Amino acid sequence: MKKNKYKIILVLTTILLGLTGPSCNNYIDVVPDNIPTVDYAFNNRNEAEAFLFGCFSFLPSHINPNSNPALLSGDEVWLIDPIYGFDPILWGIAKGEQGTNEPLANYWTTYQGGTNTMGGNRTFTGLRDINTFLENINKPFDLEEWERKQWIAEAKFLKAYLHFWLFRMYGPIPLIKENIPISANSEEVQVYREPVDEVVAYIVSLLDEAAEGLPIKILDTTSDLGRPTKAMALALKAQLLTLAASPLFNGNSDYAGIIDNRGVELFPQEYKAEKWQLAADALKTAIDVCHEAGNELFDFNSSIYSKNLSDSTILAMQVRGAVTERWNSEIIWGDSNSNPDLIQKLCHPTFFAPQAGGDIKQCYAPTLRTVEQFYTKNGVPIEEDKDWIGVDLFGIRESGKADRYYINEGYKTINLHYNREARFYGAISFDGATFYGDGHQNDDTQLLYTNLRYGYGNGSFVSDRHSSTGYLVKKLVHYLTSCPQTNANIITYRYAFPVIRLADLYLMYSEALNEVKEAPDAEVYKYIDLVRNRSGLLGVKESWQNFSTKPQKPATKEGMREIIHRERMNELAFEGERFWDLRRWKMAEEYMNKPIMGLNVLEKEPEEFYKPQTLFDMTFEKKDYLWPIKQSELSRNKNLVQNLGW
Amino acid sequence: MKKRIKFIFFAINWKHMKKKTFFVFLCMFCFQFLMANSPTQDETVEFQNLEIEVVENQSITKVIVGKVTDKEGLPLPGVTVVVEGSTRGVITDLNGKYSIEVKPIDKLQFSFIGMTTKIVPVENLTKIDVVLKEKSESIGEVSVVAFGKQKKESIVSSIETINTKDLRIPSSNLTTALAGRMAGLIAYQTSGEPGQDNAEFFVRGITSFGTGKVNPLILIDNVEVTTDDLSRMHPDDIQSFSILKDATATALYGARGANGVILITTKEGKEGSAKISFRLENSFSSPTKEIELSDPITYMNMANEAVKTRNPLNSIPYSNEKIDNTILGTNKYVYPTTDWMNDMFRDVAINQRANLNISGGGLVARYYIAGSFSQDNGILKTDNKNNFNSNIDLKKYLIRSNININLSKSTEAIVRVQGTFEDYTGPLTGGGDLYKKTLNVSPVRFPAYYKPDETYQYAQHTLFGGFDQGQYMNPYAEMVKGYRQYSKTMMLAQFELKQDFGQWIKGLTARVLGNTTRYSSFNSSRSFNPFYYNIASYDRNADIYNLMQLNPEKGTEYLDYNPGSKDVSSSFYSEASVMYKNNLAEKHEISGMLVFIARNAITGDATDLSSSLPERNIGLSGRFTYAFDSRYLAEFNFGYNGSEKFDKGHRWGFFPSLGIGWIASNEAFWQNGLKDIISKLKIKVTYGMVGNDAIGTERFFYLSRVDIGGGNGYQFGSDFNGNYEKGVKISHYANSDIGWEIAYKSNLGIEVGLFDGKINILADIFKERRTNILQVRADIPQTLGLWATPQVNVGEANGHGVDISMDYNQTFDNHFWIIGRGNFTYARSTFRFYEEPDYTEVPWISRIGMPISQQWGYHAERLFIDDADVLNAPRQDFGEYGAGDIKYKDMNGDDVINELDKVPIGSPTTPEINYGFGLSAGYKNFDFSFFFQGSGHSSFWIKAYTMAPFIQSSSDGQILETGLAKFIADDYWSEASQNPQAKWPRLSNYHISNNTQTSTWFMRDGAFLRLKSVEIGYNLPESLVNKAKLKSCRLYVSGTNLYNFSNFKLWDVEMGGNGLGYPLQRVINLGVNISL
Repeated sequence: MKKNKYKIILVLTTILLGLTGPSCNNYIDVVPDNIPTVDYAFNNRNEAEAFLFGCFSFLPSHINPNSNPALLSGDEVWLIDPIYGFDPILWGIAKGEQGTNEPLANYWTTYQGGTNTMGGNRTFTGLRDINTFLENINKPFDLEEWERKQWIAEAKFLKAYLHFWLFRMYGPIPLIKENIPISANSEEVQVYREPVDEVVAYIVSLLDEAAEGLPIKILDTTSDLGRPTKAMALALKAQLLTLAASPLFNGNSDYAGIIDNRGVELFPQEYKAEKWQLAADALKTAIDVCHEAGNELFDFNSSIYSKNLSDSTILAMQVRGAVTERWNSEIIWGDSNSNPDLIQKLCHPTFFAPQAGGDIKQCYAPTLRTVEQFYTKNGVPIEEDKDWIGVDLFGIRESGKADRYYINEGYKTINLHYNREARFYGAISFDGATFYGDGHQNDDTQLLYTNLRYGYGNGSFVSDRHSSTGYLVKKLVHYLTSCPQTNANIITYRYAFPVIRLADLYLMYSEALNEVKEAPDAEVYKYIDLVRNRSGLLGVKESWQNFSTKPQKPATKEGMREIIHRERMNELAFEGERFWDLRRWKMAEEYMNKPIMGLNVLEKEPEEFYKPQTLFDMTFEKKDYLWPIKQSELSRNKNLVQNLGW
Repeated sequence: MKKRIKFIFFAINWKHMKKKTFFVFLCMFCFQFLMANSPTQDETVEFQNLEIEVVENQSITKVIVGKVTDKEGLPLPGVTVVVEGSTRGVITDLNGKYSIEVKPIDKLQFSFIGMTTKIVPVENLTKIDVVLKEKSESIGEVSVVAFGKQKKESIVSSIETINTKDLRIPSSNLTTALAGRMAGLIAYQTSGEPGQDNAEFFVRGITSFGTGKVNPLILIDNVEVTTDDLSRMHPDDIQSFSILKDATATALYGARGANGVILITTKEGKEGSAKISFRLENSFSSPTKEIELSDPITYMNMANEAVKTRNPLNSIPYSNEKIDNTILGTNKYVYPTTDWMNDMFRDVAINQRANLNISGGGLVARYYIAGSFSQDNGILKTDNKNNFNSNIDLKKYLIRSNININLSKSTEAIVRVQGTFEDYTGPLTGGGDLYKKTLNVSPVRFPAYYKPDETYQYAQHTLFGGFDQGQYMNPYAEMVKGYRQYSKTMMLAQFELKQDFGQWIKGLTARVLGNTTRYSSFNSSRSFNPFYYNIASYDRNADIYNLMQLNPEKGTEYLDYNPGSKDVSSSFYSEASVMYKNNLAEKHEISGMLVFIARNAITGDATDLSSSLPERNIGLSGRFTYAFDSRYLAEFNFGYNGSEKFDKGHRWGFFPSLGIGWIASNEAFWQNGLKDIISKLKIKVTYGMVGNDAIGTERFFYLSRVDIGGGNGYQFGSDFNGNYEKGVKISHYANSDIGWEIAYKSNLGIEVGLFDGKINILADIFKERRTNILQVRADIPQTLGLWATPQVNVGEANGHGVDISMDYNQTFDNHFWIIGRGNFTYARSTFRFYEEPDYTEVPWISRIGMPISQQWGYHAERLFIDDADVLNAPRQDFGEYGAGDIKYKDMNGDDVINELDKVPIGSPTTPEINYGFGLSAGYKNFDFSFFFQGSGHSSFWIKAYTMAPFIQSSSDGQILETGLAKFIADDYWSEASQNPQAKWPRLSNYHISNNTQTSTWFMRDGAFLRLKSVEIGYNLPESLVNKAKLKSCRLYVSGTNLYNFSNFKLWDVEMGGNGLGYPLQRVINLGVNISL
């Protein structure tokens, strides 16, 4: 009996030991085969396509103010703090909070998975992925040749754009022509910033290659609109060459001392006029290809609602439409991926009481200088307009019937808001301004209007949802974006924000021609006038001759340069162009060392409300033209040179 | 003889002193077995039929009476009391009493199964009370070591064992008892919130800077468990609690032992009739110290100043009219001065704990069954309009059943079943969060709730105070608007079989063990949306106000349900071992052991493929010891482990260790006189390697982790619903070179016993070198474009320190005894190698040689005096700053303050010194003890970002406004008083990131000494106890965290920078412990 028991126990022990013992290696080999690796991404067409889309995802969200620094990091708009449900990270740049410790809009070292992206994106990761794509795209067995060719061209376009995006911010950048293997030693990974001219040449070569393989037009618009086209590649090339010809990069002596440890001078010190010629040529080619692809300046008369509307409303809607009308004819590159939801919530005024507690933020406020910058109805600057001599801009008067399409009839508001160009009324909501849209598309006789004084009328004053200056941006709100009377929440209409539109190219072409030629001629006037005429303004020459105190201004190169600059700022206001233009022209120091002004929004009565206030003393130094590289990156890579002043 | 089903079932009811009735229902393990015969039956019979013979004696005889108890003072019935060398004897009665006739020259021998026999000469005594010590489990003789027990004398490794009585503090969380109790353990507690109050603890500090596990391995009855499981253990159930510190002690755990091991064994039943012990405690806990806020008038004045001082153009938030009326106290609803702390928190919470255990058994089977229950309440107030209670109410239940069965004379089976269950209800976001919220609200905007006005007098809901559109956070509303519940279960079943092969080979035994542990938990919450109100108008003359509802569309009176997370996991552990132990030629003691383990754990809520795969560990370990003549000791250990985390080439790790010892006090020369003073002297040295595979967050280092279709996507199409696909995301790049983190540990120890063991000193000096520490590559620039920075194991760390413990033990006569004990731990860990960029130009940034939890920050010089001072100083690269803001030192002289100017500041954040000392004394039925605990060499930082007053921020759609702590109001830079050394820089109503950098300005010393516990107990006199048919009954009062000595006065220093967390609790406890 006893012996039996021992035997049983012995057997049990042996079995237990035996079960676990010999298969030790198998026991800890828990990973099954076929676990995903990067190689799987190129096994077939579908996986490869997904990889390509992943590459596209590194494009910045052009209409997201926390992704595109050009939207609110300059002097064009001013916000409040805090804003309900939105932390405007990049606004810090406007407030002088850029630094080397945690750079804002850090597109150089933002690391994936980091919780605080500081409004940047991991651009170099995108470039590495694009190169991986280009290296492997010969692998999918079921990919047809024409498609492979188009995808390669698309990838090259992306590669060029990401380089361009970095170049515009940082100036000289490392060129990620090919991937450095992960096993590379420390020295191999320590890349150099390449000089401006080399960067430009490389991006141009990528764009030339891309333009070869890209289609003129997207045929299947339902599924593919927004994909790169030939026009996009050529427009981007033109934009790049214009940037390279501009004073910031063309012989800018401020950067004379920026030399890396190889002894390479990163910024060309010699001004080369032929760079403008290159730009002009590229612009002409791009414009021609755009025309070929069917692009033309947008006309709101083509909209389905236009037939019942007054001419005034239509004129005001021309440029607002060119931006917000979904895939309108003017758009060369529309951002199909970023939803202009947040920006419309930031811009949309509240009209009815329930909206005060909803997700409308109504705080995207143009600064007073932007308000004043738009032309008069005569198409010339206020300060030059003969009709405006002696007019008290802040003098209050009641609006009449004639103003009814732009200003609420019988409303008391200031002279500054009367008799302005149509683009002003299409771009800015001021106190008493009519608002086309929000459920009033068919008819402009009973328009809503914005009241932006403290605690008044439609929008009650909510501490985290109000305009800091007494103005709101209207231009970026689509007229079908709706917020019904009884509803606290807004339903935003999605449009494809134009990354590049035709008017931009026209104005750039005028600019480049003006620089190339000894004196402005008809060719220079032609393209700027096309843009002006669309919004109901006379041509440059006529306008200045008839209304300006400086009628000869368009005749000189300098005068014309000033006019083109002003035209760009008016036409492309709030679209993220001014931010780069002022830098490119090296004029940011002049513009951004002035205080940010607004109206006195904490007051109810017009007499008090319309007193301009200083909101912020803005400063802009030489260092601010280019982005700082994060200090930790400089510690890691001793070959990098920090930008001037950081 | 057949044993039938044994079934134990009991229920206890008792009335709670505060009208509440508690009902504890414990259905204990029922077990059933059938046995054909019992080989030990004869022995039992022998015992019971012991002859009692009283022999007449010629010389003078007298009657000796006395009582036999165990070391806890419980009477021992059935103890054999015989006159040595004869067969005359008696057996103690139920109360442990005996009386026997003896001659003065006789010696009485007291023996009892499982106890050490004690011999007492009669001489001229008439009463002999004897305390018998447990034999086999006696801590004095054998000690628990890895996978077994070892004669304490022959141990060369560094093992610290704590008396389980010392763990008995009035807390339902065992981890809170650890600090300062054991040499070699660094422990601290940062929150007092029930359910969130686990202390952090580390064995000999943290010697790794990897992102993996740095906590010790915790084993309960050989099975790996979590910190939570440890926290739920009841000290009464613990047989032994040890920490294994050096390489020799932990080498057997190979893969898992690098950070030290906490080894706990639970009690087992002992032969004898059922012993029942019951403990009931009721405690009153209140915060040790709460942060003080300033008064509302100062708040408003300073809030106005904060706005004006930064931007004179801005309008002030609080009008003079409001301030004046608040000072006058016009109407407390219209001009509120809300003391949020007082509105939300009670002063005292009452908690209960009960524990019952029953043990006993016969020669065939022994049992230990225990059940415990605890209820912890938070100190939150409740709203009388709610019928639910959102205060924290954490109930913990624990049942345990340890059954030992002698299957045969040489075979023992052990079944252990344990279940712990937690039920919690509490506020939606937790108690700690509510504390944070009280400092994130203005005291003057609105009261917690309004008394209804005429319009709203019939409102069914509470009229919570709010502002604007109701988006301002009202912490009181946050507290009472709903509640969260969770339920956690841990079930553990364990089977163990021990076989003694002594019949064939003397000293050979074997053991197999299987265990499965299952965890499950779920949580959910219910809440309504509060209606917020504010004053619409106020008629000053009639003192009548009208309210307005701020969020009529959003508020609800009914509850919403939010499902929470559901977690399940299970693990299986098996172990088999063979042991051999023998004495050769009397003087050579040898032993050997081989252990094989395998562990498998899977979780039911994996987030991706790799985390869904089972975690496995497998290993073979061995120990070989040799002792010569109880003087010279040698020990060799090894662990050979496999880990699935590494590539095949690095999968297996071999971790040997070696130890030698010399017991000088056993040498012949020692016996002459030296022995009387130094009764024991042992010197021991160990050296060895231990591995760690829990080195990072990655599951498989040798594989890339790629999520195809898991990256970001891109949308095309005219209507934004065309082509859309998601790209690839790479979370980890494959690296087949990553392998074990290895610790090389050496230990020099000395054990000294003085004056016949009255004083015992254990001292260890230890050194450690950790190699192969996983770290991210430091020199990979972002331009390489990797998704994830590659990791390599190249880091190395050094650790060194001492730990000393000392105890003093003396009984002066039968009535007075005293025990003193103290311990001290110093552990410092530093970076030995850390891959970092070339810092030769800025050497102060380099980590090498610095402590692992060292903080780097800016050296704050003073506050800027004025704008001219700012212009003359180097540019500070943190955004806006000006006069009254913190001025930092430019370390590298490049005229800009940025990352390169960070220097190591202060001491490490993990304290390098932990110590504790205390005294227990008893006189007759009274006993008294106290214990101090301290920590030193640590720094912490006041969190300037969260403490900065008047700052509005948005969170979950609500506006928070930071309140004003009193210490800021008392001493800050203002234009009126421009003190460049003021505690707080210039005020602001938004964040000035210049001032919230980690710097010396907000650095504080974390050292403290705390009166951790005091206890006074009283054993009811026997006469009384006997009447109640009890064996013993002890009443006691104890207190924890009674007093704190520290330079830091704003809140409990042990919470560190977390001053706005749930405060640590001071507990006063009443308890009773009954044995029957």
